[in-house]
Amino acid sequence: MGKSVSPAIQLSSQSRPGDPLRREGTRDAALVGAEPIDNVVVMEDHDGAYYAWKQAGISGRILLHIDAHIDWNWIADKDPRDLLQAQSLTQVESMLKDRCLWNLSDRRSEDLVHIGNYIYPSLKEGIVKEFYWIVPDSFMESPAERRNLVRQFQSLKRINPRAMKTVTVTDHRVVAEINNTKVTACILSRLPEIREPVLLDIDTDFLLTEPGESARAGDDLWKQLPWIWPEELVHRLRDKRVRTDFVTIAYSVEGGFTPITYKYLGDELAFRLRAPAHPQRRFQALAHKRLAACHRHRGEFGNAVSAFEQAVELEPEDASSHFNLALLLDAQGVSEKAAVRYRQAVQLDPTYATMYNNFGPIYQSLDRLEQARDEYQRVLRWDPQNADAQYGLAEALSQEGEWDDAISHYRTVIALRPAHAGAHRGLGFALMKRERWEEAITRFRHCVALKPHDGFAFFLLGEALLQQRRWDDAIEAFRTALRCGFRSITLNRRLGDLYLRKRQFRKALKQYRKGLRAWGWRTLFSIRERSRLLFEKLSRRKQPCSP
Amino acid sequence: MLTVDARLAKNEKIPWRLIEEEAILLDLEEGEVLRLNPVGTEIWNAIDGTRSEAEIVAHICHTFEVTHWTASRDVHRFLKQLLRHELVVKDPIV
Repeated sequence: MGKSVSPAIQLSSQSRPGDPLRREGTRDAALVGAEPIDNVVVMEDHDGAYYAWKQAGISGRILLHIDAHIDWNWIADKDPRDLLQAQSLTQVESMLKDRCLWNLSDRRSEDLVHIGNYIYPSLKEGIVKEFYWIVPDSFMESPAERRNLVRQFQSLKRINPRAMKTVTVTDHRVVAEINNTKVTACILSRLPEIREPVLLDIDTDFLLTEPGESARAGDDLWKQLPWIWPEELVHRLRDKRVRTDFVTIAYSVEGGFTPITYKYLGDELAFRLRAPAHPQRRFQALAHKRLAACHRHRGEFGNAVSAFEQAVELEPEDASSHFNLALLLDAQGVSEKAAVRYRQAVQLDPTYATMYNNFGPIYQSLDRLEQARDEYQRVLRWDPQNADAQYGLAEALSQEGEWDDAISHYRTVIALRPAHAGAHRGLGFALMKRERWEEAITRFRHCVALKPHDGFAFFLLGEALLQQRRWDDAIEAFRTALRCGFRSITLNRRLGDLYLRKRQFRKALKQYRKGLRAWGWRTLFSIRERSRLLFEKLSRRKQPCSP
Repeated sequence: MLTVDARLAKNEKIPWRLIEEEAILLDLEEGEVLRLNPVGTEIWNAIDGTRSEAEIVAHICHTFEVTHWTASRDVHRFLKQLLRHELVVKDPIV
């Protein structure tokens, strides 16, 4: 099992950080797939790679990023105090054109780095001098797919056109230049020869189609097969004569990118890179797991169970085989045995108890609530005290409008995990739907105490306070929601209405104007509709007086 | 509550600078860059921890040649805004 390194890194490297040979990578470089690589760091969240490189004192290297996602985006990290160094107002205005690049919230730089942008600081700090993004083959298969890729680059260019001047498409490669650093997206077969050792950075999700995409295509997510197996990927890298001394591998299960059933492929990659001539026993176990996955894909569950059981015999401490067995046994209706396997998996590796150990969140995001419920209920059959599955189920029920059941599940989550801010918010929302305003207010207050920047919770709190006619408190809650960055037409309208009620006409106008600016015609129609209703109401009142 | 004899001082946590005679303020709590117009800048400059609102009004009347009524209304409104955004503090300990 790999070590998780984000944000605290643990390395097995023998060399000292800052060692010049380490920085250049010349001393320990190995031919991928042919020679053993000493430094292979495995992590859950991919931004751990940035911290690993930093800790190893790496600089000026070519990055080979093998991933279904670019993991590079602009970070609003410019110090706003630099604005005060401007020589003229025109210069201030010009600097503010890149508004989204200024760190106006004054957050610490380490808080700004995440799995979607960690390559940006690596480029900026000189860890990486050139960046190749190796995309799955399917990304270049059709013109439409290629257009998608180009669009990703163009949207990055739109945010910061000064830093990213060109995006060119040549010979199945998309090439961009960012502040004099070349960024190339291509499939592995189009990777040009690289003569120097690279930083090899692999995401396990590269091997598989993203679950959300597969679900949209109508595929059975549990029967998915990788489009490329680790063995083939390593062979392809060897054929390309890729040399490296430092490998980072991310599982990316959290967030639903890599299905948990294939988390072990990240470990497999690490084994194959660390020791190309790995022990026979391990090789056999991997072969059984691959065979089992193929059986499952064909719906041959009995054969799949046998193959995973053979893998368990060879490697009884491997959590992934136990977890896969749990799923297969459950599909065969043997819930009790499945639960035993699940518990073994979690005992061996507690990360298997994650909220992403099922496809509930994926189905929920696609509004397939029945499938989502089935997913959560399976986990609850194995582990009734699983707070994540209880919460997922409560959310699905809430989306379906089953308020009473949702309330009961939210309460269970809170009993299991009292500091679950989401459960307090969800419970408050469900209580609001049942018009239990005071209870809802209490829940929202709990939520914002636990998560003080939850703008949506403040908005809901404002809604509940509004219903209780506590106008000043509602204004305060809505204003806090705005301060937390929550944006909604309803919020501006509610604040506008509240200010009107308090005869603060300028403030009301400002809110309506903001709403209009943000949402245009929708606000205008809403205001027109409200004024029409008001007019009708007033006309009706006038009628008795008229002759 | 802001009274005419209350003394005001700039919030020391707010970075600011005069550029081409206009004050640029960074409200990092709210994530906003504020640019004050010439009158706002004059009021901002007058907030020095020793002057009261009444003294600032007198200063504005003198500088911009406006009536006392206009100046006191605008200054009061502006100071209230600055206070609400915590850009200034009331009755500082000198």
